[in-house]
Amino acid sequence: MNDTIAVDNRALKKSQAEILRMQQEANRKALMRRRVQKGTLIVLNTVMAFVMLLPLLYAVSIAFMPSSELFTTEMNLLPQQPTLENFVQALVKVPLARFVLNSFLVAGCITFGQIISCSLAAFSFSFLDFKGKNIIFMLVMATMMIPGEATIISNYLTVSKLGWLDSYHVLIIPYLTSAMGIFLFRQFYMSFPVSLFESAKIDGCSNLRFIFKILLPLTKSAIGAMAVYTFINAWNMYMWPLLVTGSNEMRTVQIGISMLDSVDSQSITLMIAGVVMIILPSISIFIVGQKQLIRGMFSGAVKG
Amino acid sequence: MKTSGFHNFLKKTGPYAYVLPSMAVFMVFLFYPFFKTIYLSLYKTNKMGEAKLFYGLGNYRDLLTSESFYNSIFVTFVFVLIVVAGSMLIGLIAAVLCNKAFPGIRFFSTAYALPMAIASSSAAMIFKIMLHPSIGIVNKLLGLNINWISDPKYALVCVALLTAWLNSGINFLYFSAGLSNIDESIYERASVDGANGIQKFWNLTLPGLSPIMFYTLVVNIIQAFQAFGQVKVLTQGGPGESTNLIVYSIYRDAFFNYRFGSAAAQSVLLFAMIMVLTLIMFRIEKKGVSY
Amino acid sequence: MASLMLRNVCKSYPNGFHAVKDFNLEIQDGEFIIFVGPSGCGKSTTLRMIAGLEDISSGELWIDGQLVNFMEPRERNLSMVFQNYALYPHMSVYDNMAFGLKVRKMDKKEIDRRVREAAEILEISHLLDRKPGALSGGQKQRVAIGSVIVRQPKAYLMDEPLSNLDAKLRTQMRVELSKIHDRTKATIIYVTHDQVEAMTLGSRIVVMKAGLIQQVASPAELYQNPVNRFVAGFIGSPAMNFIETTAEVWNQTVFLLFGNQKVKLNVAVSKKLIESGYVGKKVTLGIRPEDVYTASNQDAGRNQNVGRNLDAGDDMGMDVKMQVQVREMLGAEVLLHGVLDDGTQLSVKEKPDCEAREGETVTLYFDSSKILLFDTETEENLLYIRSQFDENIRIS
Repeated sequence: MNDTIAVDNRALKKSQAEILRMQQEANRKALMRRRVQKGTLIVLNTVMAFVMLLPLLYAVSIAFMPSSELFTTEMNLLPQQPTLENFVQALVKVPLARFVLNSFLVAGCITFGQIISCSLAAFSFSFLDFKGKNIIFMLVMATMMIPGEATIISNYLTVSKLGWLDSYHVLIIPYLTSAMGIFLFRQFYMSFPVSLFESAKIDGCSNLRFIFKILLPLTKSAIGAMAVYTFINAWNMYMWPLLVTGSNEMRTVQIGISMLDSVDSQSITLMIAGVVMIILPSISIFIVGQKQLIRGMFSGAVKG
Repeated sequence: MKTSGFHNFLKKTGPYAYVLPSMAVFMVFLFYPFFKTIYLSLYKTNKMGEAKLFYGLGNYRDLLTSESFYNSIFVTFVFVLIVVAGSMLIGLIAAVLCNKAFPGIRFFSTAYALPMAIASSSAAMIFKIMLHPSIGIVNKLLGLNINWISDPKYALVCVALLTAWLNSGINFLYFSAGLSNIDESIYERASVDGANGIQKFWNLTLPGLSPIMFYTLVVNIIQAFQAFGQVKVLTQGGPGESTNLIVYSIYRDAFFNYRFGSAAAQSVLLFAMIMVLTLIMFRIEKKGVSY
Repeated sequence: MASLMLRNVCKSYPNGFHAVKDFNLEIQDGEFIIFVGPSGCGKSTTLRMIAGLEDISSGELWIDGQLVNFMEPRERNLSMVFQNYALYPHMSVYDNMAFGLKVRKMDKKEIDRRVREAAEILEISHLLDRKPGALSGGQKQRVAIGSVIVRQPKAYLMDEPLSNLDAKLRTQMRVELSKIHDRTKATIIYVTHDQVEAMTLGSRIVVMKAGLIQQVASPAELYQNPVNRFVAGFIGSPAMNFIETTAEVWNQTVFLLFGNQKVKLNVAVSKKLIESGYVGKKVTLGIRPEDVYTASNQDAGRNQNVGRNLDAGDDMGMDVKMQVQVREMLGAEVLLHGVLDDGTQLSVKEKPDCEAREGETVTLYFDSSKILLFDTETEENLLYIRSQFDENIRIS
């Protein structure tokens, strides 16, 4: 105890100037250290982001490259003479506009349909009572365990027997609901007090009215998340459209774009320009909806 | 009397009406085809996919004695291993890098999540050029001259890394959410307790992520088993059969060879494998996850 | 254990908010220091600066004669109990307590010895294998304190450690904390907003408000000799009564006028007021509820008073009328809440046999030796006695 006091006194006795100098020194060091830490973090992030984005950046770069520039053994990260020719040619060579239209239509319908069907089902599962509710809900959850591959052959045989091949509805109808969506909405609905529903009933509100006037507005964030996720997945769908579409009129972008993927090596830049064009919508939607997606899907889901 | 009867009827059937649209789709496009697949797997089929000749477990026996099928399984497992390890590692590193606020964090976190918005087929086309032996940027950057896609040694790894990249986006989001769920004050306590950054990572961050880590692992494994577009575009199962993943093998059997029975049997086996793996993981989780 | 010294410590944020302003304090080895004040007064910020969890904007922090401003928290060898306990959720109680030692690569046997000893002291030996999720609030609290004890650090820092407990447990833990302090002779810096905790635990109390130290003193000193109206009102429960008055003088005796009533001050106080030129000015009278007596209990009060008061001849001042609005029976005592004719709210602590009921008007007597006077504008205590050891070197 005496010791520490002695030390303290010595500390006190140090001249003001000395203390100031020490402090400045320490301050500088600490600041240095902090800057180095922050700088390292930013450098690491930059490297990481560069690696992660490299495929995309490279694709964009090639899309603007005249094909003559691509065929060199030199390093050619950036186009020397950027051109829009590839985009124009890609649009001319295959009916890309039609594919984009198809994809928008299909993805839009799927998104809209899933939101409606999932919120209806989730409403029933969380607010209504009926016989076999738990069993039916278990059945819905069980569908998450069945991978698409286990059903795709039979589904193909079914729709071909129905004569649905090469149509919009064959692309849309099988995807009009999703167990994950029902689960997500139900999670949200369960967090509302039952009295919300009861007081609406007392006010003479019908079930449908309750869903559309009260539940849907209250679950905007879940709907937003669901919409972004569903749209992107539908836009990126590959195997099913590959199997069930045959004509240019019905092809979606992911299938259509592979028509540009030919052995003719001159068309590489063309193909990449096409790829860039069809990636843009999904990326844009993702960037715009990212916040929604994270808030809706991860805020509740992770805690459980 | 009549109206109240009708009212009653509505009240009884109403709840079912709301689940009907979803259940109808599930019935027609999930449950029915699922059992149909099992049914088909017991038959020899014609070109139209109609069950023609009861074959019992013959399709399964044929598969289990075929070298090609074992190759598919082996390739699939290697593929899943690389994809899951790779995508989770990338997601984890990215999430840790973006855990502390710093200027530009929004840009970086968008960049890390972005792959989840990209279609497997589009990505495969880009990778095809990147991995091109003479003009591809990978060889140019690394100063190598490897024919990545046509070399059986590398093809599988390439497809797997491409898939890992695609799947890393959502893993980043999972891990970020997991990290933000860890109470900040335990880090403060640890730093007062004397732990350095590395000790905090191993003792707090990783265990803190363990619940979400498990969930992410299950989702990743299931997802990795289903990779198709990238194989179709990049390698078509080749060279040889070095990237002939089960899903691709199913596709080839059914739609090129018109052996729907055999394809159905493979589907059933794939389903069983995923099921068993998931169950095992849940069993392990019950023992392993710490809180 | 260690001594700490804070010199001119300030904390300001980039948005211009000054959370702590010019904090000066010396903490002796083995002291139990309490930082107390309303929320947002900067007490937790100060503690976190000592721990190293917040940067010190300016000023110096010395621990054992070493300037530690820029040391990382882990280099300072302190330990801290957090308000939410901050237990590591995936570690057992044992590992939680051992963590601070393990990261310092201490010998396993020594770790084991210390953990078990601390568990013994805190009576949590039977919980060592449990996870924090399976503990009650009080048990978590003990584990948090246990992991502080095993470290044997230079000082224990505690940030509102009892605020998440229910009232009964809080009292119990308060006693235990006192015992632990006696036993370990640790330097403890303890942050709370609860003045009862502050009074019962601290060897010295630092009262803060809006980032400024108001007063540093022992509990008794704070109670009897508050530096200003804020401290007087903050310490003590129920809080001190304040009456806005005007000082008038007759015959060298000062009377404080409020509404239609007046209170007479004793000679010494009168002299002081006259000397400092407060005659005719606004003065705030402060009197604690326990120093006010109702008419029926006046004699008891007077007798007590005679026993203690050097100014025995002095009477208790003029009577004051109060209309009782609420009567709270607390068992050992009764609280009367009422209103004076000028609208001032007043509380009186009386014996339970006090007859006064709601709606009645009672006559009150103030113990004139306990009256405090504050400058209505500056709120400073006019009767504050500067001691030799006064640490309130306020530069503002």
